[in-house]
Amino acid sequence: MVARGFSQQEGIDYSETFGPVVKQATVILFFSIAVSCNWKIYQLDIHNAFLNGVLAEEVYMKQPRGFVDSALPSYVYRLHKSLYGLKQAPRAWYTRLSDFLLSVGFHAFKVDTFLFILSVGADIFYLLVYVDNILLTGSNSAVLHRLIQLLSSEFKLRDLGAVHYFLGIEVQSTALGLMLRQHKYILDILTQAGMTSC
Amino acid sequence: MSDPLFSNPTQFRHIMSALQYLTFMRPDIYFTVNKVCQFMHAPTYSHWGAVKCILRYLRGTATYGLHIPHSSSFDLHGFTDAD
Repeated sequence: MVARGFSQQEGIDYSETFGPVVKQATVILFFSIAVSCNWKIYQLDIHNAFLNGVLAEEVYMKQPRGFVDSALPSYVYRLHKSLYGLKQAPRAWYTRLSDFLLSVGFHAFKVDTFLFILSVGADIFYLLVYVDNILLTGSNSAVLHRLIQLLSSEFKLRDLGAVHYFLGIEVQSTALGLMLRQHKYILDILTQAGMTSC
Repeated sequence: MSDPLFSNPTQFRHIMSALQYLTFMRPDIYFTVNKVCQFMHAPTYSHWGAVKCILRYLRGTATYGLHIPHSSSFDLHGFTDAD
């Protein structure tokens, strides 16, 4: 089900729609730190991320076709949580996740608010968010697993284990470090351009 | 001008935007992609020829990427060129 966000009016049922996105330089920085310190990188995938968002605005929705209450057909729903399609859905999700991370002790990296940092004693942990994808690394793997448990108690998620593929980037551990490639992405571009046998 | 406009500017723009995302992991094509992108508003057949050169190069180097080695040093290095 997708909400008809195109019928929303600014100032009435949405205000801010800007949802920041992680910078590529931050992604590379994240990988560099993890590799330099020889830390494992874990990947998590949040299920239906946008449904977790809590709406700050008052949003009403018509009853969906096929699910109209025959006794009260003229009634509408007041939405408390976000639905896919709403203009503020990405922002509401980011706010929800960010609030949770801050409440458990993370703080947002100053130059890119999509990288979160947690220091516990001498240990340090980095968490990078791209919409519904999360990368997590840090100096203590026992605490790291506790963090993953904590996240999964708050959000429905899939633990993908060690990262292999993130944002179209293939991540491969080598004896000397980490190799980042976009081999499949390149092949896709060549296919689109009809240049696979050039 | 003997360089006619490319017949499918939408395809041109689509491929260039895909190549721009690639430049993060492929700094070797950064300059070239940026140069061709400067003609996105009205691409000609010679610009399309340049795109085909980039694509041909990528086909031969599709497994290239960034390698980040293990190292314990977080020293910052700076370089300057005259000014």
